[in-house]
Amino acid sequence: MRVFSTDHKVIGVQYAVTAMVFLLIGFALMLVMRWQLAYPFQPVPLIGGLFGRDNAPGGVISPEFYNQLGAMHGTIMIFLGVVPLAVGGFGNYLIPLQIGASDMAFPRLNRLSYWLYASAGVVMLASFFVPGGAPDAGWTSYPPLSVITPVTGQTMWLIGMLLLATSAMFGSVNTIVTIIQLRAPGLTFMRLPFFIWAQLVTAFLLLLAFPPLEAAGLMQLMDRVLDTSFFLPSGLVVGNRPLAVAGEGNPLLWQHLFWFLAHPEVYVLILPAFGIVAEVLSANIRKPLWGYRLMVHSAVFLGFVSMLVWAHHMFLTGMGTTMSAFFQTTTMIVSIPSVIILSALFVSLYGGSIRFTTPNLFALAFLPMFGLGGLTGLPLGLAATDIPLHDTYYVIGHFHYVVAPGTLFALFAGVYHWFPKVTGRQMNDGLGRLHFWGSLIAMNVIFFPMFIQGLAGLNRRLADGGITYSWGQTLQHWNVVQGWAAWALGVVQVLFLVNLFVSWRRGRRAPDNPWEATTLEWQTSSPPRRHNFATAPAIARGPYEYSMPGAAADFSPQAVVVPAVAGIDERGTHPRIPFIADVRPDTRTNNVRLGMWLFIASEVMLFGGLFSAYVLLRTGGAHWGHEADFLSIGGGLGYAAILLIATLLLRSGNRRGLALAAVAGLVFLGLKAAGYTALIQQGVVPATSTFAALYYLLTAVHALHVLGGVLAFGHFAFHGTSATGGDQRRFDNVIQALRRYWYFVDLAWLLVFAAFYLL
Amino acid sequence: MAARIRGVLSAVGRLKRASTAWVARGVQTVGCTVCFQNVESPLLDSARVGVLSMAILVVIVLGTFGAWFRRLGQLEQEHQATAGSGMVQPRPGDPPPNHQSPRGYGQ
Repeated sequence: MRVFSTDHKVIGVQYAVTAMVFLLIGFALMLVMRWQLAYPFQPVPLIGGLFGRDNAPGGVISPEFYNQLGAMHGTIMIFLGVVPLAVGGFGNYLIPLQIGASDMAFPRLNRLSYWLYASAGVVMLASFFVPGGAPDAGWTSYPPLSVITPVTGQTMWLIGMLLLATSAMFGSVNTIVTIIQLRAPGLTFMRLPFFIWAQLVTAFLLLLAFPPLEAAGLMQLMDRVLDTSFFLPSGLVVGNRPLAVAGEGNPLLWQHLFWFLAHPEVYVLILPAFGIVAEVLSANIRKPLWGYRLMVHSAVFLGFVSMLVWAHHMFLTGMGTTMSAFFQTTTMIVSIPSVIILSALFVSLYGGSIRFTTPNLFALAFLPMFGLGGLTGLPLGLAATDIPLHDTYYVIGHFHYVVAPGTLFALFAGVYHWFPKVTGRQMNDGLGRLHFWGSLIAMNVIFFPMFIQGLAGLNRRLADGGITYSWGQTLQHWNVVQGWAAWALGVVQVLFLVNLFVSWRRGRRAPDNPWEATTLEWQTSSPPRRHNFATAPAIARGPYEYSMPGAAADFSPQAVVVPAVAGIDERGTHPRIPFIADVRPDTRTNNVRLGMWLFIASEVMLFGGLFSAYVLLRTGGAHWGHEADFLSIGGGLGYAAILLIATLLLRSGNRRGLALAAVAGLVFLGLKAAGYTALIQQGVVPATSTFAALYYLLTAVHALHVLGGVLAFGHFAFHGTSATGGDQRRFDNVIQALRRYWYFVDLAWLLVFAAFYLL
Repeated sequence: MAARIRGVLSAVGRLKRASTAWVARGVQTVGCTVCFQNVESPLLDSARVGVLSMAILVVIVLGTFGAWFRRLGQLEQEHQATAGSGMVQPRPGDPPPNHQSPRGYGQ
């Protein structure tokens, strides 16, 4: 297995292993936190001395260190653990196999996505070892605290988030193009396994929801590093002294952009979980899923509406009844497709011949556990009930039911289910059952009392578990119970790890299709051969045709194997990816064109986030735009003219045109640098005002896009068709895609010009 | 039980001392106009406008993707009609594919 492989299976395993390591670390942080909650300010036994004298003097966890543990537990579990395992791990490994493709559409981009993700994780974890320690402003990083906190780790957190956002964007472009373009012959949309649909919708959510957080991350980074005040309002007092910043910022801007990602992120967690459970259940109940089409339409609808609910996290800001009513309504609506999918999975069980295998135990337990997590979320979607429950343990109980015995159980089900495919060996069933029952009991003992604590008014994020307050003291015994359950849960996970590693080495050999399942991945060897299939699969039926009347066996595989070997290159190091040069007839597009459109869509959302910040800050700013006097309309038009010249040069489509367009781009960048220098000499720096900060940010992000174009033009001008393997049609496709990209760069500049020079 | 209560009380005492020392240091006390629920604040007005602007953009982007999904479905149907769907038929003796049910797969 090569470390820098482009094989989707290797990358999938890399994602899964890395994510599981992060999950283990995040889980370990939680075990330490639970000690502090159960036995506040008592030395942590055995390992207390390892945290250092600053963090845990005498082995006693300081409140500041508790905050760091809490912030990093949430960050690691969500951003570095569950999502990468569900999307990067399962998605990468299974998508090409389940659609009959030899790899992802852009294998090298896939590799880049993984390494960006791994780098993000390393940067974030390294924050524990820098002066001041890890971020301590919670996993939501709310300003003003996150901006004024002196810990270096917060800056590293932001850099990590930017890397993660970039990784997610590349990964989601790849996933969408792969699913739309690389489906095997006969695999129509309504023959796709539900897992693939879930991954497709998830990829769209990541593609469109992450960029605004990227914008917010850049702004917070500027606030911390360049002393701007995107999130710091005028008159802010810190340490009994007014904060020495320009002000005019707005902390609600962060909440707005953060939750624009973080709420869809819930569905990024849960949709792949639904997909995995659908696959595991159908194979273990020996009958088709009930309501497949309904489930698919619900997943797509869920994806759409989930991007219109984010402001329900801001009810407490006093945003007003009109806006609250709108977001309450969309929040109630988004619960409907979730309930439909869950109900369809429940109804599928009726009349099934259920096999209680280890993966199916996890899948079956997922249903009521996620149901509990989902239903307890409804009161939080209504402003009247959200306000008293906000920031209490009730919220913690709700989302842990969604993520832990919900999503994590689905992921465990997936690991047990596809382990034979990945390794060619079976996991130990006895250990698996112990793992299941132990996890089920322990998780419920940990999370259910949180509802009791929350309804009693116990706040979250209290380093002493709430014993400072009288009502907290009456609830303290629950913290002790939860602590012991958490440590028991840790012991049970050791069983899982032992099972995983021992089975990988010495497990019983598994046949190619041990579960007698129908989807395509089970019709190739275990582990799958290079480029997946010995012969090209052709699809004859839907994904869940179990127990069909008249069939010889109780499962009818999706594919009929045909002798043609199209698209399979056994000797080459890279798979032959179809539709790079040609247009796929039933989508009328090629991979590069589609990939570029999707990339542009994500960039629209990035600039959308930035312009939303512009609108928000401008509307609330009492002293907006004095620095506009330093900007010359002629200069702005000059920049526009250079970009348009580059556009015209690109139209030639040859190497000379590309080279000249690259030169034009360089001229733009040179003039931009000169413009920045002149502004700085006149005293207009990012910290001067929110206008100046936004000007520098938006124009710098735009300039980065110009730089990206220049590099691409230069690369293809220099290498010509050799950059596309000597294929002129592929070269033409790339040039066409770059031209579209440059149109977007032009348009973005026109908007920047209008916003800062004209309005 | 008594030991546990003593432990809790001792922890409370330590927390009180720590809190006193922390407050006396005079750092990290934050006063923020937004946090005090000033519903007339221009900061809240602007936040509403910001949320609204993002909502409008999202509706446009999602609408575009919705139209594209619809187009993809139409293209697939057209392709099936003209190219005989490119689908492989089950082998003799195999049951007919369930998806051919007029009400759709699995219903």
